[in-house]
Amino acid sequence: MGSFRPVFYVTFRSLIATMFPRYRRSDPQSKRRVILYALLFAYVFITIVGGEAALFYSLAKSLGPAGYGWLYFALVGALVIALCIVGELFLTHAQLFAAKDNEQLLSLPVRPGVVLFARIASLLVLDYIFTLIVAAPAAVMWIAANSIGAAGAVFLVLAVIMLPLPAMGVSILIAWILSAVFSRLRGSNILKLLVYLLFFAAYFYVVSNLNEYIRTLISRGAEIAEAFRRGAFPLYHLGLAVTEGDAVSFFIFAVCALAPFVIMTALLSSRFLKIATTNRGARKVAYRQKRLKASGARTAFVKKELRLFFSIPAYILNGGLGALFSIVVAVLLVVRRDIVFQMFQTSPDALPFGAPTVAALMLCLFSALSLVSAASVSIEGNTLWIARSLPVSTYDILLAKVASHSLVCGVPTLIGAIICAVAFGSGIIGLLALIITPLALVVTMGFAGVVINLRHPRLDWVNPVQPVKQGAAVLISMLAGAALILVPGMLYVFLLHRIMDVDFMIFLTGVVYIGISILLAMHLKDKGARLYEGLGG
Amino acid sequence: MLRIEHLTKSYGAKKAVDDLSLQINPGEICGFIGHNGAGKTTTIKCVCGILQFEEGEIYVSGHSVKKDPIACKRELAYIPDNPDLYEFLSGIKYLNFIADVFGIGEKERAERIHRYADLFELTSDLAQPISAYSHGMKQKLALISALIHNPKLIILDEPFVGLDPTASFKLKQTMREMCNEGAAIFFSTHVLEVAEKLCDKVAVIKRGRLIAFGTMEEIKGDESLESAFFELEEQNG
Repeated sequence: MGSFRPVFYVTFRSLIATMFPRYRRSDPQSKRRVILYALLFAYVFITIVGGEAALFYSLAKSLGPAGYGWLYFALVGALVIALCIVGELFLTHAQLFAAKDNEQLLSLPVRPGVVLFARIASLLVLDYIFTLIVAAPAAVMWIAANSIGAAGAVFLVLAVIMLPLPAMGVSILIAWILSAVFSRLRGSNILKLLVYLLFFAAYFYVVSNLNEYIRTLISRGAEIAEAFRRGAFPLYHLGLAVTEGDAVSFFIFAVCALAPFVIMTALLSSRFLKIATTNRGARKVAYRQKRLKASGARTAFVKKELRLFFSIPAYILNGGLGALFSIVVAVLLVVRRDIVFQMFQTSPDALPFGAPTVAALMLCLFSALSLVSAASVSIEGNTLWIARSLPVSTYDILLAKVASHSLVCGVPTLIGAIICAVAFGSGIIGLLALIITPLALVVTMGFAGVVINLRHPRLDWVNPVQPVKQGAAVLISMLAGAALILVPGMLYVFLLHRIMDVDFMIFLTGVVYIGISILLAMHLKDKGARLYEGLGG
Repeated sequence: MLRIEHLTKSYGAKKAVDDLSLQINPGEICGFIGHNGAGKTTTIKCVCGILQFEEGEIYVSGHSVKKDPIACKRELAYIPDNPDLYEFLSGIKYLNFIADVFGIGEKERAERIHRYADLFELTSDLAQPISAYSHGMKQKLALISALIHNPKLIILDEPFVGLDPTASFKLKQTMREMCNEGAAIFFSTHVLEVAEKLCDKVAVIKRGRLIAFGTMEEIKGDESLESAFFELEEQNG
C-alpha cells in the first residue's frame, strides 16, 4: 500500500491531464478558463442527467407496475457497462498498453503489479463517475415512481460498486487486441481512425434512435424481457436482486461481474512487464534511394502541416469531422434524404425552403465545425524552434496553416456542394449560395482558428491529443463557428426575411465571410506574426 | 561572421543575458561555456532569431537579426540542445523539407543528404519515422539537416550530448573542415576538454554577463581550460 499511493497519484494525475485543461493558480487567464470549462461541464452535465431522468422516469412508471422492475435495473446495468466501455476504451489502451512513462515508473523500487493496479485504479475512478451519471438518476427516478426494499437498496449500492468491473475486464480485452493490431501495422493511424469512427457512428446511431427504442421497449416489454432473461442472465439476476432483494440472484450477478475483471487483470498482470518494456514497433522500413522532389518553401510548409494533420487520428476526427460530414450528408441528401431529416429530428415539409437551400445550410453548418487550424499553433509544441529558425517569414508559416486547413476542409466541402448542385439543380444565386458560402466559411474558420490559437496557445503538452481536444483555442473556435452561423441566421429570421430571398441571404453571408477572412489575414500578417514570434520566450 | 553588440534579454524582471558583446570571424570555432542557467541557450536562441531581445544588436554576415532575420537565417544553421524534430515525418522527408525551405536543387540535396547520412551512419534509417529514432539518431539527423545548405555560421547548443564516440569524432572533424572552408562555428558545451582541443576562441558567461572572451591562449594561458574556468568563476564571484 505504501508504494501504491504515490504511483496511483502520479498515474491518476497524468490521466486527468490528458482529459482536462491544466490550471495554474497564479494565472488569471487560467482561472477564467477553468470557470468557463466548469460552466460548460455543468451545462452538459445538467442536460445529460436531466434527459436521463425524464427517460428513466417514463420507464420506471411503465415497467414497475407491469411487473418488469427487474428489466428496468437490467437495462440500467447494461447502460452503465456500455457507457464505461465506450467512454474508457481508448483511455484503457493509452494507459495500459501505450503509456510513455512505464519505463520511468518501473525503474522505481515498485513492483510491476503496483504500477498496473495503480493504472487500473485510475481508470476505475473515471468508470465510477460514468456509473454514477447513469445509476444515480436511475435510482432516484425508480424510487420516485415505485418503491425499493432495504435488501434491494443494499444490493443496488453493491451493484453500483461492482458494475464498472466487468466493463473494465471487457475494455482490457478489446484494448489488448487493438494494441496487438496497432503495433504491427504500418498504416495503424487509418485503422485507429476507422475504429474511432465506428464507435462514433454507433453512438450517434443509438442516440438518434433512442426514442424509438424506448417506444419498442414499452410496447414489447414481455418479448424483450424474455430475451434479456435468456441472453443477459447476469443482468436479469441484478434486476431480481434489486427489485426483490434476492440474495442468491445477487450472488450470481456478483460472480458474473467479478469473473471477467479477475481473469483479465490476472492475465494482464502475468504479462504486464513484457508489455511495458517490449518495443513492438512496426517493422523497420528499408531505405531505398529515390528522387527527392523539390518544392518551394511555402509548399513545403503546407505539405508539412498536412502530414502532421493526417498523422494524428484524434486531430483528424476533431478537426476534420465537419469536412467528413459534408460529403456523407451530401450523398445522403441525394440518396436518402429522410435519414438526414431524421438525424436533425425534422421533416422536409417542416422547412419553408427547398433541397438546395437545405444543402447549403447544412454545408455551412459543417464548415463551421472545421477546427483544423484551431490547434495548429499549439500542436507545434517543442518543435516550434524549427520553423522559427528557418528562413521563412512568419506570415508564410501562419498562412501555411490556413492553407492546409482550407485544403483539408475545403475539398470535401466543395465535393459535397458539387454533388448537391448536380443532384438538385438551382438558379445562379442558389448555386453561388451552395458553393461560395460554405467554402468561404471554411477559409474564415481557417484564419479565425490560427488567430485564436495564437492568443490561446498551449505548447507544453505531453500528448498531442491535449491541444487538439482540450485546447481553449478549439473551444473558442467552436463558439466562433456557431456565432458565424447564428448571427446571420437570426438576422434573417427576425429582420431580413421580409426584404430578401433566403438563397440571396446565404450568398450575401458568404461575401461577408470573405470580408472577415481578408480582415483576419491582415491581422495575422501584423499582430499575429508578432504573437507567433513572441511564443515560448 | 557573427557580431553580438550589447545584447540584453530579460524574462520578466530577470536579466538572462546582460550587455553581452562578442565577435566570431570566418574560419573560427568559438566555444561558449558557463554553468547551467548562465544564459548560453538564451544567447544562442537570440542569435538564431528564435527569441526576441530588448537591447543590443546581432549581425550575421553583416545582416541585422532584428531588421532582416530571414537573411540571417539563410546564412546560419542551428541545432538545439534537445533535438525535438517533426516525429510524424520520416528522416528523409524531414531532410527534404529542410532542403525545400533553403531552396536546394534536387541533385545537390540528394548528394549532400547521402554524404552526411553516410558519414553519420544514418542512411539505412532514413525511411524510418523520426518517432522511432533514439536521442542520438535525432541528434545526427538534426546535424545533417543543419549541414545540407552549407551554412556560413553554425550554432550548436551542447552538440555532443547523446552522440556515440564515432559520431562525436566525425562531428569534430566536420566542424574543423567547415571552418577551414570559411564557415564560423559558435557552440555551447560543458565538456571543457573538447572545447580546449577544438576551439580557437572561448567565451565564458556567468549570470548573463560575459566574464571572459578571447583566443584560447588568452583565456587559459599555461593552465588547462578547466583551471582557467574555475579561476574566472571565482574572480567574478
